[in-house]
Amino acid sequence: MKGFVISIDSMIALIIAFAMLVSITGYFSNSKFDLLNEPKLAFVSQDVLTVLEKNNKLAEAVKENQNKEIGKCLNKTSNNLCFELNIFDYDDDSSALSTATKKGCKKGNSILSTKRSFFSEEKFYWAELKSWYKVET
Amino acid sequence: MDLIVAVTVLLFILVISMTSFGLIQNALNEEEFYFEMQERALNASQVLVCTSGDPNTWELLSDLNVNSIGLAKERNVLDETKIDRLIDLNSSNYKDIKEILGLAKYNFYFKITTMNGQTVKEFGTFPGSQNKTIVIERYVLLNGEEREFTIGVFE
Repeated sequence: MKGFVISIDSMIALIIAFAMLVSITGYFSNSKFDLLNEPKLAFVSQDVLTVLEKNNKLAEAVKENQNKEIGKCLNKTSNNLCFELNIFDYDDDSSALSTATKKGCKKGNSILSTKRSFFSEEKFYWAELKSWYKVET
Repeated sequence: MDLIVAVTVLLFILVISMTSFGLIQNALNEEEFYFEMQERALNASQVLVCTSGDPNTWELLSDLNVNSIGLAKERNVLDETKIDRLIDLNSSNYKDIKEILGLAKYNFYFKITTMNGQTVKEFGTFPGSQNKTIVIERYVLLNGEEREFTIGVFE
């Protein structure tokens, strides 16, 4: 009987010790390194919108009613990044005037939205860039 | 006999715990190091791509007595004169430039490439194959053309 109690006691101690180790390891395996993924994506999204605005691609898309040039630009960005750009009339955001999505991108889980207003032919518009990291399937 | 079993189990648990804590501690230290490196790389990329520096005509000064170095005429639009001046200072002032950009503890490079990957400008020290490098990619305009700006920071 005494031996049985000791065996049970040591088994419980071992199980508790392993449970503690597994939970500590699990807690620390949620890498802090990934915390900067969102600010990195935010910076790149602002870059893309700023570049498209400053080289007049946004204004041209509205003027010529086409999204081909914007699509081309988005397709040239880094492979792990996905973008969808929508342009709206400043006073009417019910439907997008133009939409362009990067080739080969399916909607991810965590989507970041960046907005920028711009001026074209004496009218205000705004562009919304949705961005996310590519999900490998 | 009871004592021997109890002490053996206790020692076993102690050895496993100490080994595991040692490994976790090393992993945490390494993660902290690379997290800080990534944070600094991101900050340096922001300063280079989005600001003109302080003073904003630092490229005209004969020495590098400046508060910050930026390569932009305006946000995301790079000034070729500033880039060329920084590249000129690479051999003589690389260490000072690292310090000004907050990268004193590390080595770094940046390169500006076409969207197809052809290098247009490059600066700094490039890592060997063994160096773990933090790479940050940004998008800019240089002389009216879309370019990719890549900064790499390593130990």
